[in-house]
Amino acid sequence: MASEMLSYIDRPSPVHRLTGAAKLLCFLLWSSAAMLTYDTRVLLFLFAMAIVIFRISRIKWKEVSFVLIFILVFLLINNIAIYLFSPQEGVKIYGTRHVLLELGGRYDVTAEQLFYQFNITLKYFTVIPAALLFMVTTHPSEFAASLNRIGVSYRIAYAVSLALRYIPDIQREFRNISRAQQARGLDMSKKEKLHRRLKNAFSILAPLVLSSIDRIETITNAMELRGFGKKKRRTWYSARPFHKRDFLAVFLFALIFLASVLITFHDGRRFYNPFLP
Amino acid sequence: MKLKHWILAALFAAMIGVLAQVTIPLPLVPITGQTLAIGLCATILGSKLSTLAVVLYCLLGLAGAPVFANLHAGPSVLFGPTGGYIFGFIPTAYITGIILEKTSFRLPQALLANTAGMFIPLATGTVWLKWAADLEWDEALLSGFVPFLLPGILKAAIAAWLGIEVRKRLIQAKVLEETGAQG
Repeated sequence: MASEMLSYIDRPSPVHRLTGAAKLLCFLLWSSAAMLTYDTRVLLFLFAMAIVIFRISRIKWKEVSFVLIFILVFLLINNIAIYLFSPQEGVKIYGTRHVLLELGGRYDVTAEQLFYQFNITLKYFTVIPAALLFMVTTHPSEFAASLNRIGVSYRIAYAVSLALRYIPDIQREFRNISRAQQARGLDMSKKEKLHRRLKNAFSILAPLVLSSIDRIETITNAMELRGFGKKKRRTWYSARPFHKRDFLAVFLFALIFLASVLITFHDGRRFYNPFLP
Repeated sequence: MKLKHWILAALFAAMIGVLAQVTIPLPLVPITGQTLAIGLCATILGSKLSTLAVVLYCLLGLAGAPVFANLHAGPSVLFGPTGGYIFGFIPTAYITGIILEKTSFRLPQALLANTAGMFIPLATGTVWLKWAADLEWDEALLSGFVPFLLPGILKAAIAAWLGIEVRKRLIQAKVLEETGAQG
């Protein structure tokens, strides 16, 4: 991994000013809407709106481009896999069969399959910007406060926040150990024999686990000495009260969720079918 | 449960998230790190802590942190066609850990426990995939079960060997208790 995973990017934007709890609820509603529907009209609307919200946040595409490109590569692989394993899924769903390119038997390329996979791709394009946005506009400390606010025990909420903070540390550790071992002649590439490569994997994983765990005692003692866990409840330095804009945002996203469900299922099916006359 | 155990679980949740993005390039069957990390976690921590770690991992991903394989995130992954595998990791961690706790934390038992645990996400994932993606059984098995058998067994062996070694050292260093981190 040549770059850090997503981390908080501070900006004076309306998205940043929403509380983490409100953004979490909005994100869950949004993802649920994108997950439930296969209606192309709904997906296109959600995609357009994702672009608009991204613009409002003032996060630049290049700031998240590494992760975006990585995800898009696997989206491509996913689409290829869908075609390889289930090439007539679209025909089954939409009930007609318009062959565009004959490749033989079940691997004929059909308009229905392309349309189906277009919908799958739109789902990615809808959810990915929202996920990236939530991560880069919400500070980890405030994230823990948000989880606690929606009812998660503060110990669990804090553990989630800790895990979030540990991710870049472990990444850095992994990179350092990998380079140190490579400097000693360890080779993970295809040039090495199978069993040698497996042994080399051990040489990275074992010190990664041990050095990561090395800090546990220090962190445990530091937290206990500061009184963590003594009370049933706690206050949060980073917590923010709900304002009108938070209620408004959640209400708006709830409306979008309801509308997408109604539009999608009004005729009893999840799929918008342009192939029916 | 002690504070130390919460922090251990959080650390392992993060580690699963990082290792899920790592691939060891082998011919024909590249080994991805996600299931390896789950097995490693269960072998090192035992049933209770590893289950907590995996639940934390799922919470991270649910909330949008890109910790699922290939930097995926969000409820659409957990509740999409491949969500069954991720939900299956929770009982995997518990069952792998409980087998080790009922027997002993040694290599032969770890191999057995990890191999048994490895089948759980394949089973839950395949059944889930069949319903979520509206596939026939043969399609679901061919795409969601069969290709993962050989890599799964290989990963079970790696997780067993490495996990036992690491756990031994952690007990020597007093980071873990001997009986499997009882709280």
